[in-house]
Amino acid sequence: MTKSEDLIKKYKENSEYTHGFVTDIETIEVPKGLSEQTIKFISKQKQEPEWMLAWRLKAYERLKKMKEPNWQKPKYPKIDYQDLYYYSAPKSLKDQPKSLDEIDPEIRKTYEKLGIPLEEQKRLSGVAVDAVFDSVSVATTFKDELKKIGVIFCSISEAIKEHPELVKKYLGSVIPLTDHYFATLNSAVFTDGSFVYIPPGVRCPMELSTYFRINASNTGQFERTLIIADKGSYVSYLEGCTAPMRDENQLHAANVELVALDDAEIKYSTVQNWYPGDKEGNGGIYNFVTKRGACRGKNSKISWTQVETGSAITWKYPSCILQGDNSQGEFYSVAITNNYQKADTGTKMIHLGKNTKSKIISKGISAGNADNTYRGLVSIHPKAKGAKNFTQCDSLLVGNKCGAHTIPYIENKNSTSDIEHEATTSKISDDQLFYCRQRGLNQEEAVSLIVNGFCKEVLQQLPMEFAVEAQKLVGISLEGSVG
Amino acid sequence: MDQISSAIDKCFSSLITDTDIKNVNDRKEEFNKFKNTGIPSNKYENWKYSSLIKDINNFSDLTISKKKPNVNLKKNLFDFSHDKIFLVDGILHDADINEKGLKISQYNNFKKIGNNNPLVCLNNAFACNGFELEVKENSKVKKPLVIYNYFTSQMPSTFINFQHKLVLNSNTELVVFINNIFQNNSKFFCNNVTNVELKDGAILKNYSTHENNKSSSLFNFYNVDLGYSSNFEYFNYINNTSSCRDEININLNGENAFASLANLQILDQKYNHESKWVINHNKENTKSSQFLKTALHDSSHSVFQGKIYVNSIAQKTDGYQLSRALLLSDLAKFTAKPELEIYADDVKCSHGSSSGSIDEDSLFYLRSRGIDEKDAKKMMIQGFLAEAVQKITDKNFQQLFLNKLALSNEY
Repeated sequence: MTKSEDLIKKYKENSEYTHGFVTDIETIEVPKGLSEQTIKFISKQKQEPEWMLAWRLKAYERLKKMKEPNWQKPKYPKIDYQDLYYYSAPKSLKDQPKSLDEIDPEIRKTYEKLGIPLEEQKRLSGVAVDAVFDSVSVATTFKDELKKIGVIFCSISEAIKEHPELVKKYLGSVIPLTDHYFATLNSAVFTDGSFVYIPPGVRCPMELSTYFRINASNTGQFERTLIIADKGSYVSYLEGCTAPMRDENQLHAANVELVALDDAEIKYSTVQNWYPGDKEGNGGIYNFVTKRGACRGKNSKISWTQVETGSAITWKYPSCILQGDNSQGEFYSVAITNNYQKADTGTKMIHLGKNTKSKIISKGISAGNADNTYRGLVSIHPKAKGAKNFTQCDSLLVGNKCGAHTIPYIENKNSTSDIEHEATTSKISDDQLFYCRQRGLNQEEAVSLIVNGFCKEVLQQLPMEFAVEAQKLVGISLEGSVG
Repeated sequence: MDQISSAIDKCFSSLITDTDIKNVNDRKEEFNKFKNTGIPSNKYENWKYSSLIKDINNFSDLTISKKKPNVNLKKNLFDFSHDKIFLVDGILHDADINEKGLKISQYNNFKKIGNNNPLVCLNNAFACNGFELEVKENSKVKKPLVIYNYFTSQMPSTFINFQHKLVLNSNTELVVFINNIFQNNSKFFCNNVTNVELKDGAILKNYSTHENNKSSSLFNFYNVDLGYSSNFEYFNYINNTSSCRDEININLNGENAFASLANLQILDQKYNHESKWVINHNKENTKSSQFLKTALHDSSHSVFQGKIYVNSIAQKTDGYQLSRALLLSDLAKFTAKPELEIYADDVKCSHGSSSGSIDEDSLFYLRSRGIDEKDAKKMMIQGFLAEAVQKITDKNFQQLFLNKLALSNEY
């Protein structure tokens, strides 16, 4: 074997889905199916107060009357909601660990494999992590340090118990109970997630982070995240996800709500690497997530950055409701689909306040037999005087069996506003490839380099820790798509 | 809504009892297809922003009459030399064609235009009128053909269904100018379907005006099939139409085929106009361009839904789309959905859309040179709209539309 072939082999070995292991630990699961019992069971397990259970049941009542949407581009076989488990928690969590050392060593090992900074690494990287395993928040690091400056960073179940006034006030205020099917489903059966509250005037000193992992088979993961940035505060939040390799499709329907008050800023970054299914398109995660942020206050800002490389089907639109005057919304996205993966993603920017601004940069890459759709809405309401929007969505096609689609919706109801939209579709040109190959890069490296360049505008927006990982992911996801 | 569907039902049952009507069974089939959806609601993705359907739903009664009204056809004629077709209230009235190679006949055969659009199905079920025009092989028609389409003040019908067919055989050339003349102030619903077939190397330039239509609801549908190296050019000048939806479906079925669509729109009051354009690139090396310029006054509303579809075999496709709108009042609305659906990798496709107000700096520049505000605005709007006229390749018609734009009072 020549040296370069050897390198390719090594590269390939390293680049398979490396997070596809299953952790063998005992879990408690509720009986299958979606019912009032299940919801009551979840609520009881989590020792929730009455009002929370009532809230969940209200959502469930509503859900019964709703229909699953089907306007999306990637179609999927019907999900049997009665065949799913809605709660799965590692058993050893029953007697809550008091500190990191008490955590089940098996779970710790899982996280080590994933390379999450949970213990020693936490000091080095300075990332505070709330790790969600299947449905339950395992541990939240750095809690004490954050407490000193008044930042609340804990699991949502804990927040329901300890900060009910905040949860009551904000939960469901951005994504109401009556929203679409999957959001309402989440409201009824959500199991855990993160809660962040940044008090007025505080700039959160470190990146907050959550790591999601679906471990048990046949479970849906329904986490709920609520982030509130009070007046004049700042927070940067990261989210990462993986799942083991399984033949069947698994559902992930999370809700993320962000609230930014006057002069506050929230930066939300996601690197999504759920199991995409095998090369023939079997298995993989259905990632049907609702993410929405409300810029309630004046001069507030919400910025979404996402790198979507995993999941069999990605179907999500992180959105911004720009209510406060001078508020800003941003959306940076890289969506990579390979093999039989499908993505239908984009954003909604709803301009309600005066002088609101939004910016959308979306980069879609499809290879193999994949389909990649950008779908977005920019809506300027009559009172949004002086609103501005800029949208750019570029698509890159690798091979001729894949598809790239752009479906923007633009609604302008104000004469003093400016909306600009641009989209292009292209392929990796032979000239670019030739140039790189001439300089000694092999085909795969060259493609990875060109694609990284194509996505640069978005990758730059990621915090340092994630940027490196994301760059690697971009290369890996396109593995095997050329040559 | 129930009123309109019962009115349509009533019209249809009286239509099929007419002994002159042919292909009753096919018509029934198409009518049932229409009945599946009925007049589409805003819940359907393709009709999401449509105002036309709201206006159609306001009709409580529809009538179809075969009466021929009297109209002075000598009026309103253009002073350049041209061939003429006269359509009066939905009926082919007269034709004056001298050019060799042009053949016109009354449309009287039921030819179904395969489409799932419920309003096209409705047209298939009802259409008994229109013309068929054929250009014989290798004829390059020199004079333009003007179609005078009258909607008279004594119009007997309130429900008009046209179906036209244009066939251009190999190596032919034709310029068609459709001049819609509205003398009518009463409400009517016109459903107009045109089927165009361009054989290898055929060139069709299709221009139209659509002005001062105060009360009607119009649905226009074009289906264009393009063969090898054929060329389709479309330009529509829209100035104050009460309620109209123009749908164009282009199939680039031959290599090197090219389609260029352009719209110039000026709307005021509560008028609304929608354009839904779909371009299907089905073969290699095909090109398309979509270009829209819109100026919106008062509480007018304009919708643009444009789509470029590229089949996986259509490599080297070049697709271009640009829609720009000026919002000149606080109540005006512009909605766009510029869509791309691409399955081939070696393509160049781009779309752009922008909407906004008049640039304050440019206005200041003009005013600082002594031009008053009204004139400065007029200049800027005209300049903005004139860009769409530049898409016209026939120099005479380009000038005609530029003059029209300059004389327009709508600023």
